[in-house]
Amino acid sequence: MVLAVTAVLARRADLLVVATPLAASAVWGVLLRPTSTPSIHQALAHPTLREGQATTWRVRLADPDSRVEDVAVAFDSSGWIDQQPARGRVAVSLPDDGDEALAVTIRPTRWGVHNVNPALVVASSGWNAFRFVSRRWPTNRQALLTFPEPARFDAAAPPVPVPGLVGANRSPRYGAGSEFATIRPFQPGDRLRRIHWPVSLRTGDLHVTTTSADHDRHVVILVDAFDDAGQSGGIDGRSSSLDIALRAAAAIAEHYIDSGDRVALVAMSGSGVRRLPPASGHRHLRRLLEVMAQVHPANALFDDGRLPRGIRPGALVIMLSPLLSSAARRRLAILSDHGYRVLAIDCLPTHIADDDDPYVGAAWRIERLKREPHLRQIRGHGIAVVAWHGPGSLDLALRGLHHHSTVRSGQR
Amino acid sequence: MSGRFPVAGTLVLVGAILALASTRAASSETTLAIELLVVVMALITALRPDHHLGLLVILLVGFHWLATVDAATTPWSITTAASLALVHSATAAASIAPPATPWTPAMTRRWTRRFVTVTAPSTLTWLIVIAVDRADPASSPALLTAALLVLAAAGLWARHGNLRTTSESPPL
Repeated sequence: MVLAVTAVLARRADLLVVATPLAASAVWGVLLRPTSTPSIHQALAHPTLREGQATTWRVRLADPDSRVEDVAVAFDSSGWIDQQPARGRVAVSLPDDGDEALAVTIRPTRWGVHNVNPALVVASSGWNAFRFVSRRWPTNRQALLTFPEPARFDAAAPPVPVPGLVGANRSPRYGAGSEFATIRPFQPGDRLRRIHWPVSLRTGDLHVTTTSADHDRHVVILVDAFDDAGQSGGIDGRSSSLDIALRAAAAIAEHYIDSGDRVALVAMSGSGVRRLPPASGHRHLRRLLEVMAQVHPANALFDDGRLPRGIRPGALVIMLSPLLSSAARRRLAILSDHGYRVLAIDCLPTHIADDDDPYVGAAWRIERLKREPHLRQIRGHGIAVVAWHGPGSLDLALRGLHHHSTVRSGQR
Repeated sequence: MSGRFPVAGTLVLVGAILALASTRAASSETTLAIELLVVVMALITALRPDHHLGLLVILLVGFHWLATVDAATTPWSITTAASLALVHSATAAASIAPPATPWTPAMTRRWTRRFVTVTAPSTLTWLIVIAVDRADPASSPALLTAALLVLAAAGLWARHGNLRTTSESPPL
């Protein structure tokens, strides 16, 4: 416009030629301007994921005039979130491409609660004459809850016998269950409907069928987040001790919940000790995973040594810990003294001494040597200490606990 | 178009240099300091298209043309016009998205089509200038008044809601 005015005032027609495209684009831009402000909605497609799973941060733009032409999205993730496109930048031509493509794929690579900041969205009309910029208000931040990815786990060992009468597992004791155990001679007090007529007729004496009692197994998972030893590389890299502990805890919880057992959780983390009472079912599994996802390493451990309410004596307590702190070792001893069947899973990463810094590597080797006498002391208490190796890694220890319990109940 | 600067930023710089080259071709004299200033400002615009320095580049080239070129019907005015249109389009295109945002083919096609569309009328204007040049329109006060009135009306019309930049209000 300035050039056009100058051309007229200076009476220079050649400058008018120079100004023509600029004037044309200015007029075109004004003609295409929107009359109302577009509205932008952006949200996570899934607020809860497992490590390594991906979701999308989707942006929707409502433009009543259909005058917005170009929309650009800039999404900046931080921490343990990968994004696709790698820079988190997407631009589309709204009339041609639609707003379906206005999405950034995000993938949390580590468990935890990740705060996802809203994306910067820039919408512009023709010739960029009108521009609408969304602000990244902190209140629009969304929490992405990422559950630990359960490690591969399976246990073929027989269940550890616990006192209990109702449940999915066969008790070594006879009782009112559904699974056949044996046929024995009738005794006063036996129910008449239990009489096994074929054997009774053949032998001439009354015989009854007996069944194994069904029992509930209470499993307490105790996660020690006092130390997070080693560097975490997320789901695709190396695991720290807390990564191992939580992924193993998730796998164990899933295994026992699938078996119909009641699982309780004690998570000793920086935000305090969180306890979940024993329960079964997949809703409870989700609660367990939610608490696990909110664990973060503690700088100081406050542990009152209490277990969740409702834990039966003789419950199986599985503690996941790098066993570096004296508090964790003390807790194991106390639990064993209280009559629980205790199993300690050593979560110290095997690669921890393979550090690039030779001094750090040496320090970890020394720390491991210092830990050995303590581990022997724990084993001396009758507590099995096993390293986590995935499927079947607890079988030997669980068989040992089962055998020990059967012998003890037989002695009684 | 893979990234923003490699293409749009380069086009801003190329447009400015082409405009200066056309001006130099159309005139007998040159002002090296002004040319250097334009190139430096174009480079900054290429790096930071959100700033209003691109407007200054266009104005500076226009006034440089006014000061150095005497021939009213020179065809170099068309190339200068196209070069300035390139600077303008590339600057506008570069500022529609944050840095390093990949463009879709549809966006590239639309911006290219529009650049060609706004550049084409320059030739028509040039032909009109040649046609009316013999009639010496510069000495007609009526034509001057009419032209000023048209420009004033266009300015008032464009002022109404033009080039607004808004942003959403905070959530309650």
